[in-house]
Amino acid sequence: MDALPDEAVATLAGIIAAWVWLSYCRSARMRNRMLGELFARATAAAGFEPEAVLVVQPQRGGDAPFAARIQEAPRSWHIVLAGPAWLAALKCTAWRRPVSGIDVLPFGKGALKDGTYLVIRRRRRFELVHELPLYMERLGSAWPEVGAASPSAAADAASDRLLQ
Amino acid sequence: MNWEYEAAWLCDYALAVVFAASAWGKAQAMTDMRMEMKAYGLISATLVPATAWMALALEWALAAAFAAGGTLEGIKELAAIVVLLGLTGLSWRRQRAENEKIGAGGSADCGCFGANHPLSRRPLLRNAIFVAIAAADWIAERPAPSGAGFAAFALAVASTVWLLEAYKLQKETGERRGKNGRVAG
Repeated sequence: MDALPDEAVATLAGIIAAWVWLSYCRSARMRNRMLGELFARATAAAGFEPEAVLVVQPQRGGDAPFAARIQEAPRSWHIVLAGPAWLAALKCTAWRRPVSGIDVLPFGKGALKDGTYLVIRRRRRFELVHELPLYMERLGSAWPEVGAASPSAAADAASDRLLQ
Repeated sequence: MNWEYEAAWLCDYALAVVFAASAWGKAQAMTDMRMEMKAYGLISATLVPATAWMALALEWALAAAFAAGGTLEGIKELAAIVVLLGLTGLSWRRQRAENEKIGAGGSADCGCFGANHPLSRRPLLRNAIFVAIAAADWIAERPAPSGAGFAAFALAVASTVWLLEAYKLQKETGERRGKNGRVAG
């Protein structure tokens, strides 16, 4: 630090910061693109544009108390079970709502393929919720906003079609 | 080279990064943050949203104070120690309650920097280390930085925060280069 004047160090730090910022923006864009793809696939599978997509792992024992609440989730959500199609079809009956299999997930690998989470679409960006047991407990309360809304007619029609 | 100055700058850097990364992660996932606050069980549900914003503002303020170098000497270190000890106690309490609820082996991660963030691992050990760093920072003396020196220091802090965030995003999407050079995922 002593060998270089402060101005040179600041310029170097600025160049590195710009490079790191671009790298961060690239990763953020890629995640946004993948989450957008998830919503597009969920829309195609469910027959309506979901307000949120809930991704559930079938093999997690710790998620069992939360899994029991899935059937109470708003019908404007779409559920993706990160497992085979036959298991998704079984859960479809158990949870009395459309459930898609792992083929809806656009992630080849990574934490978004292996985790249990809720993706909420907020216009052009997405918010991920990982504190699901607490979130599901509060559905229909004053906050958070998502989950309080009544199910849309399109979501109802799609569910009825699937469950007939 | 004055080793006390260097050590003080390193402590400031580490604490600025930890508070800025934490605030950045929380700002990206406000719903998770509110749920976490609700899980602590100390405040009523109606107060949670306002408290979440206040906690976020406090973390940004601490990050700015440490990134500014030789300002608020003694106050910022004390505030950091109080905040870190408070969060450690709350994390420990919640972890214990969850372990009791689901049996042994509850989650060891806190998600306080956002889920999948490298700094979210081992919250109790991590906070203990940062409390020690804040205590060392309290003792060490450093000169006030020049304008350009301050800019370089703040940019180094910002770069580290963005780097950690980029790592988190890449971990989420599986966007990592394998040994054969191909982009996986």
